[in-house]
Amino acid sequence: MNRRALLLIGLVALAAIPSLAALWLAGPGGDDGAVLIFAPSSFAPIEAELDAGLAAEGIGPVGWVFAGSQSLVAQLVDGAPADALITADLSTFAAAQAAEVTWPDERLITFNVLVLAVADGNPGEVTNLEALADPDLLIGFCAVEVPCGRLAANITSTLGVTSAPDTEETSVRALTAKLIAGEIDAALIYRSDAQTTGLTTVPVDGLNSLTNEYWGSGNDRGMEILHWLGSGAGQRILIDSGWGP
Amino acid sequence: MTPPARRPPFAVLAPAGLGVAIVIVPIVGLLQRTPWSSLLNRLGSDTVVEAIRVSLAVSVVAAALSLVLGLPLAWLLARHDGRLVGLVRAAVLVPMVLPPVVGGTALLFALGRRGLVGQWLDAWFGVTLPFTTAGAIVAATFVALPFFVTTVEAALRQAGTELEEAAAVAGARPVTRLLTVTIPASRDAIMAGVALAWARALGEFGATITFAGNLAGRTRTLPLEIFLALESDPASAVAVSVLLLGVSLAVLVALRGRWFTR
Repeated sequence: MNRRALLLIGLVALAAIPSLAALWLAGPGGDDGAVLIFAPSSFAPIEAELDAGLAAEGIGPVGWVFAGSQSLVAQLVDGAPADALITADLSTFAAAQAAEVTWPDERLITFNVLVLAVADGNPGEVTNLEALADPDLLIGFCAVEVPCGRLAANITSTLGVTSAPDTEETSVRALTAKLIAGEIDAALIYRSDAQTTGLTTVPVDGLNSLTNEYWGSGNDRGMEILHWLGSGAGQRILIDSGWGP
Repeated sequence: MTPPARRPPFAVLAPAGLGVAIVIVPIVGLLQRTPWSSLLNRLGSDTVVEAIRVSLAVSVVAAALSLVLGLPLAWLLARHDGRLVGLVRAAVLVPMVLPPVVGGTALLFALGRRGLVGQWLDAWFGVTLPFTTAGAIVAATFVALPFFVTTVEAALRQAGTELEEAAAVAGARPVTRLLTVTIPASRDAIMAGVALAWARALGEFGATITFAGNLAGRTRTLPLEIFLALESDPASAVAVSVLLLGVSLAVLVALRGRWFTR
């Protein structure tokens, strides 16, 4: 064997070994028969509970793809493979229908309300929604481009509350993380996020007058999961984590 | 001696071509999605103009800080040896290889108002860096400084030693030597370092969104605007991306004397 051939084999091996290692590390991908559900990131904290509930009924396995609702729709428009899509509000679901990335079957899954959550120990001594306009407090919102921000904007204008945000985060998860870190004093976040992370909330009348409806659509395999989410077992997990009534 | 030019073998051409494709294809994809007819309108919208304003302020101040803090640092690293100097050099380079989101998390827990240093900033001076333009500048400087320091340190090592010695023999004090001999001799590298630091600061995303938050007119820089627009108005996100691509290419062309042709 001449040197050039040896060099060539060496180079191929150099490329192949890490590639094979990466494939092995990445494990079975999305095409191993799992049902691919594109779900809003607010579902991420209860992934384990949902998987356990589904496994108990012999459904699945499910591959969850979590992201902001609009990102999910954008991924589907760009051709990402999915068996079902769940969005965290109706207007994003309507956008998905308009973009023709939904299936004929659809259903309401659950709904979410906003709560006034405060940092650990309530350092800003927040007692009501007027705090959202207090320039001396650090206040966080979701950006109006994402569902939780749209709901927050609707609620504050309905209740006639002004706001002075110090940050407009691109997802409710990012906003929740800043509350947990104690870097902001108060924020309007989903009740489910407050409940799954154990954040303190301040009771406010009227905050639950507006809700974000979670709608889903899928093919036959996807709808099986969505119907399970709508069943007694699925609803129990969701309600225990802050969704629904 | 260079061997006579002939066609490179396929075993070299194929992976090299693939390497070029990995870089070029995404850029072509971006340009192909660009809304050329409405590009100027989208870049002139209030939200984008506001993000350009924040981005320019943050990146220019971060580049200036990199120059002011980085030049003495680079000089120290170039003119001294030893274990401590090696440790400092390694520490300064960490942001170059650290995922920016890790940098942002570290900044949050160090300089946030409950952080190691941040709690004292808050208690003594009433200063809270997160969610302020100053916080975005700190995040941008964190990632930009190493680019300046590495570029300038390498140049200071190569150039100036003999001239500095000559100046020393002539009786010039160290600071005088630095100002009158070393800095003028490495002017090109210093300018390249500033340009690289500025470009890195302009493109900063992960550390900013983690540490400085995201508020229009205060901390929402162009990369954050792109990320947000992807949620609601992808065409505008592409338009702003093309703007930043153009700026990056401009920086490369400006630096071509150093890297393009070598």
